[in-house]
Amino acid sequence: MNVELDLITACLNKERRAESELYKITYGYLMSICYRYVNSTEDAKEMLNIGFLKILTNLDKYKPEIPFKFWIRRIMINTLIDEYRKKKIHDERIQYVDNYIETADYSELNPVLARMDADQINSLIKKLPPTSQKVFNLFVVDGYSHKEISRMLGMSEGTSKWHVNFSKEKLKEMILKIIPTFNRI
Amino acid sequence: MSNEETFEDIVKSKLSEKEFSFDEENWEKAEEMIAFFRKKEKIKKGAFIFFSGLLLGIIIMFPFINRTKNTNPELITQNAERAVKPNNIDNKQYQAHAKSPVDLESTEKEEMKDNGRISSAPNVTSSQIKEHVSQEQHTSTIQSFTKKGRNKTKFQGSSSRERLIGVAAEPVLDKITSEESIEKEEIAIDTKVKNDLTILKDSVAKTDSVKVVLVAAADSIVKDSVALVKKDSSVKLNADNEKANLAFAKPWQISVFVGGNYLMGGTLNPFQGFEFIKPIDSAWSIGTGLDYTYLNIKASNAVKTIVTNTTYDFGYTSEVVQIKTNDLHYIVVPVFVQRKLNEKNSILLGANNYMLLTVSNNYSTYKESYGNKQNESSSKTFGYSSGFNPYDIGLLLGYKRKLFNNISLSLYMNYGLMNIKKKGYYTDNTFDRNVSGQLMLTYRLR
Repeated sequence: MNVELDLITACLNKERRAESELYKITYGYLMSICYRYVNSTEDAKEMLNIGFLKILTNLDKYKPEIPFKFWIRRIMINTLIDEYRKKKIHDERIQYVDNYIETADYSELNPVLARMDADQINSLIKKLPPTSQKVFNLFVVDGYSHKEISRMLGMSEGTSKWHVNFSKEKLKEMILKIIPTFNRI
Repeated sequence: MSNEETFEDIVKSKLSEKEFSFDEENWEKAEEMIAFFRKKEKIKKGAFIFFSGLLLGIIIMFPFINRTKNTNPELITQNAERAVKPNNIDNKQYQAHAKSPVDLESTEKEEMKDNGRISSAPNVTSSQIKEHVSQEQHTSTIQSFTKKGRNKTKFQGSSSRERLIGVAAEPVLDKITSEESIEKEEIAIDTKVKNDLTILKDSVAKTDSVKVVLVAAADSIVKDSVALVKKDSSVKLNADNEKANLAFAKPWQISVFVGGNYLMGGTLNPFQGFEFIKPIDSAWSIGTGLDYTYLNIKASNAVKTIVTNTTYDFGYTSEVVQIKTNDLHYIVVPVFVQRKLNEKNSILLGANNYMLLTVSNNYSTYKESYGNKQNESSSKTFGYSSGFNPYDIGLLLGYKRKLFNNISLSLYMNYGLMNIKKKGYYTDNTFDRNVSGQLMLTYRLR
């Protein structure tokens, strides 16, 4: 994804053609982010539009020294998390953990994971409880620290760590269940 | 997959493999969303600017609208009392006088009791005043007072009342003193003196009572005067209010005007519209209007050059579109307060709210190769207003002179508070404010 500064300037001037061009360039990347955070493609598309609007309206705050890709990813993820917080079910059981130390080993899953495709892995992640799913995506895929996640989702760092571990455990369980299927293939 | 790769690395790399192709339909939805958002923002911004202008106008008007007369009844009473109060009465005396007759009577009674001069204070009636007058004649009976009697009747009281009575008795007593012969009869008439002293005591008491009556009468006069002044003030105030109400009850005056609008550094352009003025009293009015004008901004160098296509074939050739803005067409809503200086002259102060209607441009296309223009064609167009702020607020200062019954000449000055161009849109990024003057001929329709 390569976005020229001229294109950004044209978008700042609200040129429709430039906006369309920017949308076209960033669509695949933004969609891959949205796809991981919401459960359906339609929802992902809707979230993408909301995120893209935020990108356009905040374009004047963009500093060229930061890679544009990172900047739009942050905006998109913030949009997704904001929307999640708005729709969050309040009675969702939240585990409050002060400190969590991970000890389990998941290396046995690696050969199976390597044979799975993106959709298969994503479908397993989507089976996780919503908060665990978000924390897992933020930590494992998007590289946010537990400190950042705790701030974004309003939880303790320990809780964030717990969610990551819980997600891994659940994924392990699910992957182990489907290993025989893979072995047959 | 290397052996060092962790669970997280594999998940991350697998998920990033997923690709999505551009969805045109979703872009249309996004476009609608963007357009809706911008429209909403524009309305919000417009409303904000408009109401800011309105607020500015109201703030300017406020000190004039709020100049109501003081209708505090206490203040009126105080002023009235101050007007009635005689100069030679000090505050303490006046306060005593201002008391009601009943209060005063009781105070006087108490005072007299304290001095031990009378056993009970008199009840004062108008008939007693008459009686007092007849009692004045009674003093002649004191002519038979002896020296001893004089000493007995000389009052050395410390109160002003006692001094007053003493002074009143003085001429009579002096007359008694001059009659040396009466001394011889001193013993013989001793009984008579005693009787006279009793009469004198009664007389003193009655003099006091008369004083009380006089004070009460003075007080009554003061009160009547205060009531009259109050009534007069109230009538005057009501008349003023009536006048103000009548002025405010007057219908909106509607005028139509035509004239010229001169933008500093630009050219003279037409300016026309309606003006609505509502009198709030005989001198002050509030007003608004709906005007149309355009500002010639050729001098502002609002030129946008867009290279639409460049082909490279033995050099380069660019297809260029150039939009040069000439005029900004505005709808103006002024909000102002007007002060009548005299029958013919008025001044006004307020705010102008400008709303950009459209923009007229010179639209030209040409091909450019190494600085040479080819196939240039140009036309006049409207639109392309993205480079200009859709709203503007200006401070308004004006002068009006009545020429005939319904015709007046107006001179307005506008000092724009915002940049008419959007920042960063044009190469020439100078702050251009609308500093303009309007000279108009106004015809009052009603």
